[in-house]
Amino acid sequence: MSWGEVADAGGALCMLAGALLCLLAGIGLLRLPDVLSRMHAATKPQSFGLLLVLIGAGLWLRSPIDLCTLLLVGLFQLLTSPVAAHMVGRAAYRTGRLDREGLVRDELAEALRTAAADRDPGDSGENPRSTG
Amino acid sequence: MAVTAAAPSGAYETVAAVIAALLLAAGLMVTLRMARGPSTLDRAVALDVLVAVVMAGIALQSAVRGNAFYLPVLLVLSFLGFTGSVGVARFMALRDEAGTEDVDVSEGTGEESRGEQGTDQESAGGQAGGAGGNSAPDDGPQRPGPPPEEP
Repeated sequence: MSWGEVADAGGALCMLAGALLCLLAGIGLLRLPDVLSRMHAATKPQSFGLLLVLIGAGLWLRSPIDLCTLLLVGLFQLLTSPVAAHMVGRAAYRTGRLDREGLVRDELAEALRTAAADRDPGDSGENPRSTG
Repeated sequence: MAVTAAAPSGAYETVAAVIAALLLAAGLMVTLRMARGPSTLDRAVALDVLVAVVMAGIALQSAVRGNAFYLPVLLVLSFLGFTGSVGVARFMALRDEAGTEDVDVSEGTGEESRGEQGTDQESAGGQAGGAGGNSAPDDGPQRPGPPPEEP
């Protein structure tokens, strides 16, 4: 059994695991009740599942240029997907699309409360439109 | 590249078909959530996952075919895949902050007061303009009167 066959088998396993993570994300998106919990399911194929598929594709391609391209793809995916998740989660929290009974701790509410109390206890203190 | 284009054959064809079927099922579920999603944020999340699934499918396709023609497409998707949901989230935040109770009350009163001031100013300006002499029906007999008399 040569190294090429080992790489082929490993690549097939990695891609199969990545595709299973994608399928899990689909099931989670359909079944979970909330935006934040759907994001919990949605971030699995974005980072780990896609990295597994890229590793598998790199193990099948085995060319240095393609490996560098796949490395760049994984790097930029890891850089950009938390930004999108952060923005979507912040918008979901600010617009109140979450069930607060499901939260174990809500530290952002305390932080917002203390920030509003620090800024101005009076009238126009709460202005969540500002940057954050 | 031609040497390493060892597209795995035999049993790996079926493995690739299984992986493609899994990705297709995942994409169908994500699309269903995107069509059904109650809020726009659900659709944004589903859009992100759909981009990830499409990227996985392109990676699988280029791995099976053994050519690297579509890897720049992967690079572009990893660059730009997040901009859609970021924009949607940003505009959702701006629009729905106007829809929540507290901010809605403050902004609503502000806009209403501004609107009332504007209408007052406009009506005052209209009255002033009317008193200024442009009101044709009241002052009509006097003002248009002179031009026929002068000649």
